[in-house]
Amino acid sequence: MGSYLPILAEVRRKADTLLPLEASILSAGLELGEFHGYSLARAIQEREAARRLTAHGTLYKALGRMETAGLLVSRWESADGAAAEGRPRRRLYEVTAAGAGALAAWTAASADAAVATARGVALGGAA
Amino acid sequence: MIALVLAIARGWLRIYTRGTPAAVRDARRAEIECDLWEQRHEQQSRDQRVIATALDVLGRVVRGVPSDLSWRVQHRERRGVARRLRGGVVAARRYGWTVFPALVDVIYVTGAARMGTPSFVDTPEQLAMAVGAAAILWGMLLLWRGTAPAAGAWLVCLGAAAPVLLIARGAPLSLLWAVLAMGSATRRSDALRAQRRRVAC
Repeated sequence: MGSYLPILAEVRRKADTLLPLEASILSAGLELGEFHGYSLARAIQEREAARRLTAHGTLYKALGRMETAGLLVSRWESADGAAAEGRPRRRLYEVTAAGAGALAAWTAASADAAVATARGVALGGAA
Repeated sequence: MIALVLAIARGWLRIYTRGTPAAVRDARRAEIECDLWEQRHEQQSRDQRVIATALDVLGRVVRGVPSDLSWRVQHRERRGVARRLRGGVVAARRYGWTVFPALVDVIYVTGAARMGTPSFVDTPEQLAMAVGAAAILWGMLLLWRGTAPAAGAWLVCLGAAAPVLLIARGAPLSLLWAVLAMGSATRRSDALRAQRRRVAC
């Protein structure tokens, strides 16, 4: 069954759509420029006024998935730089042009959906 | 408190990344180690409450467990059924012969030590079982090393047989185990000798 789970996940999800977390990552990432996992979790928390930081598993799984999809690129910073500051090496991510495009498309689609919902509510109210 | 939570986070990280390809595993571990360090460092530099940070880290670990498990399912090293079966067959061929001699040895050692104290066991029989157990162990060692297969098989057979002659009246199953142990030892000895002949040719 486990072998089929990724396939099922692909079936469940439409192509070219973003999950809310992925949209949050892209918009926070575009603001940050180059970012690492923890700075991104902190930025998402502040942007969305959330009480808690995104869970490790959820965040890093989404980052991996988005990198595979070409929405993000990543690189490991040099060991020397990290050692000079006395901290572990960071994996630095950046939103790609494809990622920015996907976010723009998702934002437009969300706006359209919101307008359609508002229209539906208004029509329902008039009837 | 924070040290304990960080240890839990690292322990869980090691558990769910085990058995995944080395490059993927090391990257995941390094990335989450870095995250833990950053959060701990931020708590120290901003002088935040330790308990709040500890609970936050613990919450992040616990809430992330379903995603961690799903990540593992995606990345674990897949071993096909055929490969696993092949491994099982190889292991059974290599170590299968030890099962019955080891079982008989355990029975004799248990009897010799009066563990379970069956009513028919008395001192001469205990002595026979102790000698038999030692002979079986010695024979298994010779068969394991492959240095003297014939001697090894004889030792296992004699070790298994001697106490059975004494105790067979009260423990019929011992006879069966002893016969199976003898069969395993002689088969192992035959296989080793055939292998030597092949090498010599």
